[in-house]
Amino acid sequence: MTPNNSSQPSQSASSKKVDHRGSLSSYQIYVLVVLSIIGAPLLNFPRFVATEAGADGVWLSVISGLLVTGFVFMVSKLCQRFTGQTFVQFIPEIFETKRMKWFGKGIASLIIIGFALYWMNQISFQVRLFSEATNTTLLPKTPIEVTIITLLLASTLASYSRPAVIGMLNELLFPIILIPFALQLYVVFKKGDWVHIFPLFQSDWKGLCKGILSNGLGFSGFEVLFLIMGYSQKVDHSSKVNTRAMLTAAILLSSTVIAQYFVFGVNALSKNLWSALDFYKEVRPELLVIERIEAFVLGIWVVIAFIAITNLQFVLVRTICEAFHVKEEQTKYVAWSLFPFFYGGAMVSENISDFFAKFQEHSYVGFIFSIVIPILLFLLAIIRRKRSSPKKKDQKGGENHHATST
Amino acid sequence: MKMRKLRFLRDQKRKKILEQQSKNKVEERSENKGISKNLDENLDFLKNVFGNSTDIITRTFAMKTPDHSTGAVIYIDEMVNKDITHNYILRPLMQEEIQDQTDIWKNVVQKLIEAGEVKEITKMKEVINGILSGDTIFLLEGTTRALVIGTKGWTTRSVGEPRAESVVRGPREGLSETSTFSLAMIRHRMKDPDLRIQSFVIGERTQTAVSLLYVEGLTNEQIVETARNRLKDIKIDGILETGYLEEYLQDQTWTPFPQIQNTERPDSVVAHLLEGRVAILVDGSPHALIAPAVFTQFYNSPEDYYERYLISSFLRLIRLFSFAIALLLPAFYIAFVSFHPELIPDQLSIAMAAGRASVPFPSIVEALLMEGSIEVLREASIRLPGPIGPTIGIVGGLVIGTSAVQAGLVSPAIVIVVGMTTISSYANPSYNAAISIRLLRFPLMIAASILGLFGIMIALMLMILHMVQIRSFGVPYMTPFAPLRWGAVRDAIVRVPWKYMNARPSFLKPQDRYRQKNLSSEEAVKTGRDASNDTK
Amino acid sequence: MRHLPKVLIFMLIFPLLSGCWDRREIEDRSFVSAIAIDSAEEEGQAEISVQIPIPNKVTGGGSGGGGGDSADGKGPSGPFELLSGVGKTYTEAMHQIISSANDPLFFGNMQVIMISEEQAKKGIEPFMDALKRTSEVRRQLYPVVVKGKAKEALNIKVPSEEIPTNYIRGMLRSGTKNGIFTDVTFGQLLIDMEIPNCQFPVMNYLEPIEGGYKWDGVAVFNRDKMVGMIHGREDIAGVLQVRTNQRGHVVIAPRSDGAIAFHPYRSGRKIKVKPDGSIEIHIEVTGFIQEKTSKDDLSKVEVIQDVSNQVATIYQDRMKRLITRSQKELQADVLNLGKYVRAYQPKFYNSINWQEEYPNIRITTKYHVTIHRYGISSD
Repeated sequence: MTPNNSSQPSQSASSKKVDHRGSLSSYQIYVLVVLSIIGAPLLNFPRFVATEAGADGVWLSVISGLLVTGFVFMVSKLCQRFTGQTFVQFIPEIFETKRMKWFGKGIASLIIIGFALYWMNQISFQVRLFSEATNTTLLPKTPIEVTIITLLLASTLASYSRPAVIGMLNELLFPIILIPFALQLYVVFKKGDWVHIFPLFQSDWKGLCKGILSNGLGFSGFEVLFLIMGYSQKVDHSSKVNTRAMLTAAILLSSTVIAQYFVFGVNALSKNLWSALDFYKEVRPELLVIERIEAFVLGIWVVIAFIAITNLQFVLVRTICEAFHVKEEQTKYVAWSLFPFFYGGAMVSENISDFFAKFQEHSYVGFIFSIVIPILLFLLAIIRRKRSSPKKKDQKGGENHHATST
Repeated sequence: MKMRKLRFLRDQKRKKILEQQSKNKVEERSENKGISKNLDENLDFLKNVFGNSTDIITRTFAMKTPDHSTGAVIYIDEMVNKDITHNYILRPLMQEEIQDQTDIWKNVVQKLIEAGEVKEITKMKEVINGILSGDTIFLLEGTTRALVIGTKGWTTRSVGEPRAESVVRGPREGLSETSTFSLAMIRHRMKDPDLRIQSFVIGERTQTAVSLLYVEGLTNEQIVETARNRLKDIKIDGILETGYLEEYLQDQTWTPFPQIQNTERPDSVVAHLLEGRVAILVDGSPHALIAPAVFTQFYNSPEDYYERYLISSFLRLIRLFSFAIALLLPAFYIAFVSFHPELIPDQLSIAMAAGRASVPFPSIVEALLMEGSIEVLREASIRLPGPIGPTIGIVGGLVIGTSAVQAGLVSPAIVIVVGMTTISSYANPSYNAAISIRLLRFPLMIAASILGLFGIMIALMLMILHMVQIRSFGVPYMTPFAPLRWGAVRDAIVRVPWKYMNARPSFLKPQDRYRQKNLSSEEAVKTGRDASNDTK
Repeated sequence: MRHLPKVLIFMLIFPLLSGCWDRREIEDRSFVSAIAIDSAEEEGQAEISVQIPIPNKVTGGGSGGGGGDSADGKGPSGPFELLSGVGKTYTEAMHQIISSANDPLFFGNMQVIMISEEQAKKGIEPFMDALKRTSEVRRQLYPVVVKGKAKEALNIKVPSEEIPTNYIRGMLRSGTKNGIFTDVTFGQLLIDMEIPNCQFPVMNYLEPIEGGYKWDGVAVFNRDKMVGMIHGREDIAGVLQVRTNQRGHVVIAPRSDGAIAFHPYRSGRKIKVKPDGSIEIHIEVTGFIQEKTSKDDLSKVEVIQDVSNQVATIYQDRMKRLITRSQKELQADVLNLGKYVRAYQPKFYNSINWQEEYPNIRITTKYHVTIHRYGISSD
């Protein structure tokens, strides 16, 4: 029954490092990016926007979604320059220096470690966030530790699968995840009111900038591209795919924000800690067998939580494995050894206010990783004319070992 | 770790011994022993090998040749068609005169034997094999050759209706235990010279004939090669049913999900062959294995393709629904009753509370009790002889259900839930998939009893993760949903009209992609060529 | 085989885990179907009562039905329990109830919050916070104000339902669906309460009568205190059409020799706010003629036109009366117009305090009535 019982011995590569390049199709990358972005934000993003950006959050969310899409385009252009390489391999190349080899490598390692730490934090926060939501609504008397551990156990089990399996998992769950968005339309249709989104254009410049920034943070999560682009099948039109993915995520998230503005209005929204849940409580479906649709939505949220955390964990585990050239069978030990850290991280905050404060701080740190570093890398790669040489494209397998030292 | 090592060593040892034993046996039966010139010596040898088994008939006689040379005919009593052996082999051999003393052998082969399938052999081993598989052997004094005459003809069951896969519309004949008959049924439906039947003999002791069926130029070579290699690798002492093979052939052992489909319908075999799959027949079993199998296949019925597409699509949706019910309903019952009563409509919740008021157990125990007893009933009704079975099932279900409710042991709601679950699990056309769902219901129920809806969802996620990890002959189990293959999705949830299913399932990577050739480009677009082209 | 230990461990752990924390069987919960908030004798305290149906006694659920015994007029009138507690806050009162209930109270299926008029006038805020904090409580429940004591209103014997709450719920549900009662749910109440400086929630007002309840208009609140009410179905049309966009009741237009009943089936409103804060409301009502006792020939276009104009005037007059009353007497923004002023003229809105400034706002209304058809009769 243990899922990772990877096939028969005749099939699995015995102890050689398996090359995962080309194991994700364009569609899988698309879904992976979408699902990595719209995980946690679904729960707290609208309220966050309402408190940070006020009434203008409605259109600012659209604007920042478009801006972030631009960034994603840049990131995928950057990744395209290094076909078949993950960021663990190409960042050292960008910083590579002739004279002081340790310098370039040092900076590259710092960035990669930074990313890893950021993701680790992100995982802890997301796990906590989803567990808090579950505990508030579904299991009020269950200790939070239980939900956190359950969620983490499930996602860790999934996280050390092969990239292809992660891709398929995302692909399979994607349609399910779209259901709440359809229901959202129903709620807006039933309970929405135009008046709630007005008045617009009330903030000053400072407010606008803050609004765009805080909105943009909700869209972070596309950093997973740095890794998964290395596993892509078709790199040629990946920038198109990624941009489309980001656009989808932006549409989904913005629509959530707009829908909740429509139903609650900015004041009631900012006052509601779990607005996303109360949103579905507003209507009573006449035709459904179950009494409340929010239960249905909650069920799907568990799916979203699972897949979002799994994706992040997968990216983190693979980053570590790539960095230390860990053998394929030992991936799972890496994944399980990270477990206590996630758990510890999730349990750091004592109460929910503390948690939200920390989460906010964390998302500002995320600004560096989702925006500053990509720009930096992109500019450096262009200036230094770094790209993976076409010769390397032909080489398959075993190349992973040497990529960093060429 | 240590345990594992010890176990490994033990296995190694055992393997060695086994190898040694089988070697001895083979040598004893003389792998390379040729046929001796001396007839008596040959007969003695055979007697030695078979250990005086009484069903082996050895008939020695003198032929009407100038020097009355002796010949012998050997066969197993009930395995041969006696009519052929007596009238067309023994009689001509004993009654026809042969004038030409110089080449009796040639005369016998060319003139005397009046049977169709005749083969000359020189090895003792082939003689033994021939006898064991129901052929008649002719040995002649002074010759180092023997004749194997095809006289297989044991009593068989007549062709019957497939019991587990009955359909309303569609052929009524099922595969036979005799694989030659089964092959004939398949050939009868598919008169394609490209249909290849490759035979293997598997089972050191049972020497079972296993045939691998595929269509050359259509089936993907890699799949055929995988099947071939896996079949070759099997070194078991006996194969009695396709189930033996199935477990050796499947990619992943630790899973409740079947990765190879089995069917007893020849039409279904042909349909799958045409889709680009391989089929495996085992002599002695009326089932055929079909590989690679993906998840969607297990809720498809052959009838889906015989009825009109709207009806089949509707039925498929019904089956999917019943699949979900069979898997999830008890778990949801537990989650709703024990954790989230707010999700039950309020009038109903009061009624359910009233129904459960006298029940002394928590809902999980109640559900396990009822589900368990229904499983027992189901198992018992299969064992019960003929016509009583279903009756007992119904009576047992009704009586136990009603009296359990009246006694206050269980609530009326769980009886409905269990009833629905049981009926729904029967809606699944493939028995082995239905069983795995019956099995998976229990972990889901337990998950629901610990963490409610959250538990169910987590358990479902793990299940889906597991399903995604499975492969069948290299094809991911959840295709065409993951990885997404639009061309094949048309035949996954619903069935589109045949017109629009021109492309064979692209995930099987058939060499011959389209069912109907020479379509105009316009029509090709309509029928899904575009969709399958972009998939690798 | 190497998985066996793992499987065994799981199998051993699971039964132990099951039954922890949140698992509580359906029959071990006391379903609260309604709560009633009454003012207590002591100042600043309230009496909160919960209605808990007894599943076994409710017909259809389990064995035997039958009402309770209310011979002495004291006990519950049906198959339910009524438990009460007194306290300064919701939780304080609830504690007294919990200590007398056999199973923990469960609010997930609560349908109605009943507030006595007396308590509504004193303020409901201290009793709402706990309700909106609990995720169990649905936002779809109906808050109502009742005349007299709310607890007694919950104890009325209703012939058609065993639990009076179900009657109220059904009544309000169909009434709001028909567009004749204001569509106010708990969720809507919370949203209305959150608009800064424009907190004028309304609730349906019920009067318990023999064998049931009578809907008697809406209770109007200023912040959390009830300031008055709008009676009857005539004046309510404006509230329904503007505030909740419902169609309202039948209008009877007196004619020279009889009357014509106009049945609205759709209503739409457009609200315009000028920069100086004056408000224009345009309301379109579409409907048909349900009854005619006059001699008018409806097949004539002019007559139809005339009737619609008359209906429009009737609406207009009622609206005028409503607005005047709300500004002069109640001083409460019954129509929730502040929301629109805030949305369309934020500058003006921010420059005043709507809560106080409302009586001085100029509001004009304009009706347009369309009669679509007049039934099967040809005239």
